Amino acid sequence: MITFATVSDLMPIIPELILTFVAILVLIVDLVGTQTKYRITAAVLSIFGLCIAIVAEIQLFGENYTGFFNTVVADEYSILFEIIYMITGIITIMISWHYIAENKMNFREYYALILFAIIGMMFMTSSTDLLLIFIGLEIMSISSYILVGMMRQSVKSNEAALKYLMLGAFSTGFLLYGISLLYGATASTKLPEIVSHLQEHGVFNNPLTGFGLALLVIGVGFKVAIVPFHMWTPDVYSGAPTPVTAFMSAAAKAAGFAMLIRIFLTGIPYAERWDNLMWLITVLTMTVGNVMALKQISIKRMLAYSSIAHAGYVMVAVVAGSEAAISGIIFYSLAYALMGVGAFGVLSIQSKGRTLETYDDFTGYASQGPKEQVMAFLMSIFMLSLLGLPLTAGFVGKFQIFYAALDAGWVWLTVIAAMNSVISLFYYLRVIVCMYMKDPLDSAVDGNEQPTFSSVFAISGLLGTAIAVLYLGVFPNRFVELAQLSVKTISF
Amino acid sequence: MHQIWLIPAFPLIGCILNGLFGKFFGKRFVSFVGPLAVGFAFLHSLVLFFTMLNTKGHALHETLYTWMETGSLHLSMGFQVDQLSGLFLLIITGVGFLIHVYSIGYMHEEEGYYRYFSYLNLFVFFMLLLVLGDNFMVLFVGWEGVGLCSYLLIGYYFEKKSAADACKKAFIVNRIGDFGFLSAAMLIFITFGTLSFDRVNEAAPDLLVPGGILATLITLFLFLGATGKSAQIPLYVWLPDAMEGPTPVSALIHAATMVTSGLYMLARLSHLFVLAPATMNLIAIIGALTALMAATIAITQTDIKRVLAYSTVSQLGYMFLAMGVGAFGVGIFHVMTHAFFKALLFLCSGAVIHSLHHEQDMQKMGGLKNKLPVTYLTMLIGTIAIAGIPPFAGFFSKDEILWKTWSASHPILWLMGFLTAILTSFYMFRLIFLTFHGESRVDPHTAKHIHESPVSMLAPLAVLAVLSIFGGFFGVPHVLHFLPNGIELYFEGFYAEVPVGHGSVIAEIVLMVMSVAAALIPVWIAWKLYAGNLDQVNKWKAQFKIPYALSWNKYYIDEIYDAAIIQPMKKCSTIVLWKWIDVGIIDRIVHLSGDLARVSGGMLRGLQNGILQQYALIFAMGTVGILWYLFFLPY
Repeated sequence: MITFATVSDLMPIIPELILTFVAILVLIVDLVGTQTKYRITAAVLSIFGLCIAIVAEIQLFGENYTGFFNTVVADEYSILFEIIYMITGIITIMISWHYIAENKMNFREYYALILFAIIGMMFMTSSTDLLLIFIGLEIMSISSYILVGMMRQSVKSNEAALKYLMLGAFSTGFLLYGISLLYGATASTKLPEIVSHLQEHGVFNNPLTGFGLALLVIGVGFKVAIVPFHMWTPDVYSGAPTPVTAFMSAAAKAAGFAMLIRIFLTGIPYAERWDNLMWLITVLTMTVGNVMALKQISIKRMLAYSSIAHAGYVMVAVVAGSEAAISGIIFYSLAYALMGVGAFGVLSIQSKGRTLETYDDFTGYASQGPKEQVMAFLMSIFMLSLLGLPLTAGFVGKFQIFYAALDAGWVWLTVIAAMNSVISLFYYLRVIVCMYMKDPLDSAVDGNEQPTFSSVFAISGLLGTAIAVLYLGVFPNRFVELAQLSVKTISF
Repeated sequence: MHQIWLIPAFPLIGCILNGLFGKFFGKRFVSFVGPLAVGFAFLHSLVLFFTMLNTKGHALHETLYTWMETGSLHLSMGFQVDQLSGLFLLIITGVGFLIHVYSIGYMHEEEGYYRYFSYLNLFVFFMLLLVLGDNFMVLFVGWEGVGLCSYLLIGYYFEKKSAADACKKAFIVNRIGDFGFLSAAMLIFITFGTLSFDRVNEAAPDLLVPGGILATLITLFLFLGATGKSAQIPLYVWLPDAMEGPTPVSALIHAATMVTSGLYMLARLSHLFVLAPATMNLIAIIGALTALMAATIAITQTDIKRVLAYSTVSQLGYMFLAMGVGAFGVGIFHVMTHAFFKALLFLCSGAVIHSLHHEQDMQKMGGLKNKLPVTYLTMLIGTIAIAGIPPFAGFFSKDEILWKTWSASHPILWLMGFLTAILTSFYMFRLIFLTFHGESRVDPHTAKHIHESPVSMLAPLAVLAVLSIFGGFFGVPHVLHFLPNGIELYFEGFYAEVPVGHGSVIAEIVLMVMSVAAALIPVWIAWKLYAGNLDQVNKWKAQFKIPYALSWNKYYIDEIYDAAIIQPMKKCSTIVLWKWIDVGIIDRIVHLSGDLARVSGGMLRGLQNGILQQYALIFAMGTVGILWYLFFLPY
């Protein structure tokens, strides 16, 4: 029987529709004129659209709408993740405006592309059909390929975009192949149907299903950059425009994990045979990320490696797989979105006409002027949160994940994760030591600069982020409860 | 509700005000807000302390809010004021307030005055959280927080390389301690399913086998944490170097408060510790060893702050000795008296350093008695107190520790403590005589400018001097009983009971006379050696070369650690990480991928380097590995 989509099908995708509309509007504004005021309009419009979409999401919360033959669901789980992407998007846009102006990359499709990427992430999260998930993933990926190469005149940016595109295409092949194998074995692309088929027939009885699932996990593993599929991360992250790096490290990874959890919730990868494998991958991801981050001289690259380590911490929760662990992942994604974007955001703000990237650039940063002082303070908060100091969001996130892993009986994994977290102290604190406990190098420029409106805009965004990081650290319980609630109601 | 939260809130507000606005509102504003914030906290602590005393036996509890609830784990921002935390509150806020006031004068000319006060307030905030928390979580927040503030303040004079190094050392050593603490917390959570102190203390006798492996393991890890924070063997090495920070910081953090947090934790979990006699013995032995060793180092040091630093390590050893023999209350009593006289001594040494324009070498002091009369008098009081000469504070607490050690039948540990007492009296009076007596060795240029410190610095000295004189009367030993033993009554029923042997009254009196003699005789020796000219000392130095060199060089412990741990680790990382992994494995992969890329032709040749192929290769190898593992590994 053929049925057609009705208006009620649109309910679960209202936020997506709003964002699509706004993104197209931004493109139209782009056509109108090239003066400064239109540039501001594009940024403000995008933020405005994201805010409306967040309000729409909040309205949908608890309603559990489904649509399009149950291929799109608006359960609490996906709504929470989608709000995380949009918050990341808002902060990214706030820091981007300044960066774009300073680096002469005045292409206003930039904002539209960020919105499109978010739309892709939302579909990755909220759909239960592998094809639709794949389409969401590609919308996100293609938008980010372009975003990475947005600094057209920069060789590094171009190189990063090309690398990302090549390897992304490579991984997409794996993903799609996995989906097609699964389809061949189960005659469906819908997760619930695949699950019931596999429960009936087992995973490893038919090599096609096992192969398909493995390839699927590998494809997603590339997006969230787990070892050994992480090789692209440092190059792409350090080559991309800094706000784009911030956006990718936080939102794109969160989306990848949201998708990974949905696949894993089918329960299949928890076959015993997977356990040791996932364990090994998790340990490798944490350790490689942290050890490599230790020896970096560029803070941007250090943060890139540290984002691999953070993906490793999230993987600890994926391995644990309990409800507490998944709610931990949701919280951690939010926490990392805030502190990661915050840290990259500080890097994206120029000081006296210089782009700051290495530890040397940050030497004596705190004593170079009032703006630098504020920035150094914000950076310290983000670093302390990233290293997991109590009373910050990062600590709560790590605590939840480690606790869940311990509770699920993964004692050694937790111990290794805790030791990794100790290693990370050295490179995060080094940033603070550089900023506060050293005199500026001779090359540092003296003199004052007039703060531009765009830099004030960016700094206020970062200030809000820092406050959110502290708030989540001191009063985490409401969000923890929300995350736990959403896990309980997760549906296919 | 008692509004316990207000106590830490005051210093936090002070920290924020000073940090945000201090720079714009100037020094007067900062020197007003900083001490006042701690002063308010002190007043509120006093109120709560007496409220707590009136409800004898009932701790004041207050849950601010639920911090987090996950599964069976319920963590709250819970505070409690009981006998233990009440006493610590008064020490932290009271001594803290005095040191804040002192800092106004001492730090007046420093750059970043507001930053200093902001850090100091923040430190007090975290320290208060540490002692107020009613579960491990809040304790841990404070534990990490005070550590952070301590690094920030050690590295305050960051332009000095030694300060930066000291900061790094403190950081690394403390991480080892934190590892112990976290492991213990994890084990406790697995065993007890809770992180609340009360519930752990209550359930400990039921859930743990006395002397069993688990009890021993948990307490050993906790003790490792304590040795890190409280500077005991083998992790004491950071504390002497921490003296690179400003002197008031040394007084507050590295003498009176933070370094006692390890002891606080031990006392807090006394019911757990008594279940592990092996750990208790170890604590006592480590404590006595640390006390003796640090004292033997202190007798040759010439940097006035270093002498005091080693003296702190030594006194902390006494406290651990007391805990180890099960005399928790006595240990905490010594924490209190030590906070008074050691803070006083540090502040006095700060006053000396201040008036000599940052000269810390005692060989370049001497004869300051007349020029700095108030400092001299107060420092003399502090010295008499620490040397254990009755009726000053140190006598009562130290003598009680020695007596408890003896009566718990640990004669060897007692002997070590007794020797330490002799050495303590000697090196402290050596310090006094070198600094204030004899001929002036101050360089003539500085000598002209020597002046007594401002009132803001002298007033705290006077208050602390009074406390150092009378602070001991809270714990008068039983044999003397001209006053009831306040400390014992105060802590009645609070700690776990330890079967303590009771020595005879005669023995107690004999030992007491001996410790008074042990305090007095070295004064005379030090006077002979150091008050006049130093010929005799120099002769002896030449005669006893080896022991002198050992003590002067701190038994070469830093060098031994460097040779035994740091260098091998460096070598190991060079050989293993660089030679094997980097060169051996990664390079080979790179070469392999290069070959492969050449073989596979010009597919990606247009790119500027060969790395992309390598990435794809590793990706593919990972995939193959995973698939091989899943499907072809026999399972």
